[in-house]
Amino acid sequence: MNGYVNGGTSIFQQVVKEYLSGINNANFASAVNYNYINSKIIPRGNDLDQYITKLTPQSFSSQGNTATTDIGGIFKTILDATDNNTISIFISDCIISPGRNNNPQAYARGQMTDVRDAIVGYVNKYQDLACMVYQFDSGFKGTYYDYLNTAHRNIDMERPFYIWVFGHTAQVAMLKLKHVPDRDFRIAPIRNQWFIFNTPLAELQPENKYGLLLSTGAQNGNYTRVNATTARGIQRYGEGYRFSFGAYLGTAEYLMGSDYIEDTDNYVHLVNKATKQEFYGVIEKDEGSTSPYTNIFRVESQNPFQKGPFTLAFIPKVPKWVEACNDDDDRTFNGSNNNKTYGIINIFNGVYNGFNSGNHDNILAQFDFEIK
Amino acid sequence: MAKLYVFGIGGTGSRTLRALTMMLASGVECKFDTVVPVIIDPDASAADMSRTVDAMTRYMEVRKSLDFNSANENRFFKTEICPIQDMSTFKLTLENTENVTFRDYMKTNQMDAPSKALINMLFSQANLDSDMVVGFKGNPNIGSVVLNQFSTSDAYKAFSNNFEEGDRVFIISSIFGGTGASGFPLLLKTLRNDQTSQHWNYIKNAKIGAVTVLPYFSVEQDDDSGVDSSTFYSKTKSALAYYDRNITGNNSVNALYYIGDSMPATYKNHDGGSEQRNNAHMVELFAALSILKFAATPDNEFGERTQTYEYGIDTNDEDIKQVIFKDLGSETRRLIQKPLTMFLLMNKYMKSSLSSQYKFQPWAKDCGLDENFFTSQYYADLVKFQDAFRVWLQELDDNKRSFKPFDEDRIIPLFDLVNGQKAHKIFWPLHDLFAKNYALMDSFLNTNWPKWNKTATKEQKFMELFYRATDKLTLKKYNF
Amino acid sequence: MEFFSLFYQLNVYGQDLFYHLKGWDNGMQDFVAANNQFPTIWLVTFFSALLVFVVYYYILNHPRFNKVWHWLITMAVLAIGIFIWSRGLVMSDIAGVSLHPVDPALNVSADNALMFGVYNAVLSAIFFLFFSIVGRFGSKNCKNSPWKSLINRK
Repeated sequence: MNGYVNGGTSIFQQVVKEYLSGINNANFASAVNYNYINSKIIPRGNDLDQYITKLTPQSFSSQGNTATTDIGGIFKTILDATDNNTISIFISDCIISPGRNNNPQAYARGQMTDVRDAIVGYVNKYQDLACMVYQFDSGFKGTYYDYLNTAHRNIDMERPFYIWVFGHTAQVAMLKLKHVPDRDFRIAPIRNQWFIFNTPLAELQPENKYGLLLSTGAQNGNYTRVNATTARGIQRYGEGYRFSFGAYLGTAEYLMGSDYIEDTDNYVHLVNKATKQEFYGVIEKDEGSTSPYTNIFRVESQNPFQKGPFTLAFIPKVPKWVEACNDDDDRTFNGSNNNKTYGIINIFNGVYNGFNSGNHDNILAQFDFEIK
Repeated sequence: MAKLYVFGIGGTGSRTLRALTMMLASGVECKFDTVVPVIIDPDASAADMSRTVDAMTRYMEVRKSLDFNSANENRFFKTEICPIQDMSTFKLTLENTENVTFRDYMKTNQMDAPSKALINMLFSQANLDSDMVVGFKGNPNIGSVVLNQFSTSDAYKAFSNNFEEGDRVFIISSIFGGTGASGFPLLLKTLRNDQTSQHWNYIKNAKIGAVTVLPYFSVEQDDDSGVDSSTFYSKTKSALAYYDRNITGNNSVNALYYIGDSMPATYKNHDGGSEQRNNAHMVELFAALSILKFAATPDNEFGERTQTYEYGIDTNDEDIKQVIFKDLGSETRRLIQKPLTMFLLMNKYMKSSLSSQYKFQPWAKDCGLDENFFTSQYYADLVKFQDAFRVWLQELDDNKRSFKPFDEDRIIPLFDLVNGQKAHKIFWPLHDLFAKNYALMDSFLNTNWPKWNKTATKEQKFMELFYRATDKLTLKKYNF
Repeated sequence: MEFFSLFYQLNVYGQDLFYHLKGWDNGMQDFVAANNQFPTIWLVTFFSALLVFVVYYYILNHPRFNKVWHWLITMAVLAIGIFIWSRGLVMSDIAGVSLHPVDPALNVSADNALMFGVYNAVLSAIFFLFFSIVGRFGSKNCKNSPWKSLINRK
């Protein structure tokens, strides 16, 4: 982390200050406690200015062991301090450091498992968990240790860092939507973000409306809408078969972003409890001014749809940008791995796995239809 | 099952029997279940007789297919008409009258001179020369000789053999004619006095009634004919005097009915044969009513003495030219008004509507009355009988006085059929308000009758349908 | 309400017209019961057929109006009446002058109105046929209309 704070005036510090002071301004928390974390939590009082100005490598190494950052362990530590009335914010470069480990890949996978276990442990105890993460770029000046723990000195470039927020879904949602919304980040733009939680959308938003569209209109498909959830006689449409339905996903859009909501990879076709199939089709915004829906789903198939129940589930996955930002070899900086984080995919997968562990799918919304 | 033997003597007898047949066919009530007509007329080819015999024969043919048990309400053709058992014909044949003159019949050439002289005194030359094949041409003096052979005839033997206790006899004759005037007393004498036939004792004690028809027609003056109607009244007078002594006077009949008409019709003067064909006259119809009256009188109402009756119609107009039902007495009306109307309605429907409707109407389809039925012998016989009925009605109409109870050729409105009688409009059920004329008859025929005998034959069902339908129809339309 | 629209499932008259008559509200993106015209349409069609049946068989019950073609004429009168009424109903919806104007999102044309008139006319004829078969045996003059009844009390 030292590379981000060296010099004292990095984007990192400014963004962090902007965010944390925004939280103070919103005045919704009864108490805010600032900490450093390496191998253990080091409290730093309640004064934000103090905290920010003291964000120095010296302060970091004053206590604890900075050599190995066991991200999995940190997640556990942080989540241990979180509960239904406590939001924890974790700011880090989230680089997995195998240290002098013989098998970095195995270590990375181990981290994934640790993160997963941290999530599962929390969920077992408190049931509800939301996990929000912002990705920013900041100037990095200093020594960079690659995954084989080789030092690279005098690095001066932009590197990503992450602000993680953990807590009860309703409260984290309020934080994101109301107290410190995205647009309050003015110093540096949010490069990417992810919001995952395990409270079904139906409990968060008053409207949980979804329903089949009429097959009138050129693109909806060729079928008879018997009622909102029953379609009959789905005919050929172009090269295959199609039917369309609309859904209200307004809250999800605010929380997760419309691109994420419209990514078909986040939806699966549940055949039965054991079998999931890829969702074939497209998702669009619903432009209709009077429409109660925010999105239109066009479900497609090469072969005729099987008669019987048809269920589409919204199971949010690790966003695509994580893969793009993942670096598995950070020994050289040749431009292609700028703005990437070594092993970040494991952390995100760990989080995802934590929400979808055991026999449990993190279904946030489900659309049930009957095909006749 | 007592029988009523009805002897119809001469032309009047035949015509009265014809009227009786028509009335029985239409279901007029007769208290005797079986009527046995016997026609006594030496004029073998008399047209009136042959028409009557035809009608009675056809009546029997039609009735053969009908059944009158308690499950059936039909009264058309109810009374049985049949000839004397063991006889195949209704006619009582007189022997030795064919192609034989009266002189030869009496075998005058075998008589001695005093007898011959007596014969010449009693009978005119014309009488003696007359050929008896056509009867006695209004000469009862001839008739009285020839008809004496009654009791030895085969027919009389058959009659007597089959006569049972409780059977009755009725005799129809005209008082002014030839055959009738002579035959009636002779027959009566035979019935009461004969002791050679088998059941003479039953016959002797049986109830006997007779109707004597007084003049009601005349014939045109024709010097070549042996019949002269100007003698009718004088002959009537002398015959009545005879009856006074020998019929009513000795109480040999239990009941004697008189009928005549003061305004006689005039017929063409034919002295017999197939040309003596007089149109039906209402007097004959009323004479036939006397038969029914006699049949309806219970035994205990007859006394020792002859009871005499005279018939009258109920109108103030002595010169009435056309008699309708309203002009008849209430008892007559009660008896014949409804049955004749019913029978006529049935006939009119059969002639006008049936052929176009039977393929469609439920009454025909449900009873299985199809083309086969309507081309069967039974149906043909019925139609022929009804044609004869219509002819009979027409003749009554054409005659003087005319009896025209029906405007029988009326097409629409159908139910103005009964002269002097206004038809009521039927308002309920509603659909009968819309159906008119023959369609209304269809509607009545289509009724779902209670107590319908499903096992009856088609012939029975057909008659039953029309009986019930016209029964209900005449009730609703005319309150008969 | 599903019962009434069952009779109109065969959408030869246009899918969109079916949606419209079932009460499609584009704002709600769903069928609204208050706009569902199928109950009214079905009831009028059904009871018209019943009325014509009662008139033909029991009120008029005419012995000269009981042949096959008379029955067909009666059925035709009923069908034509229902055709005119049904088509008119849709046309006034299209024109927007009725209580249930057609939503612009739906594609309903005069051809659809015509076909719906035909469809409903045929449906009324079917109802009439059904009543005829089931209820005619009490009609004394018309019980064999349009074909011989199996119930024979004679």
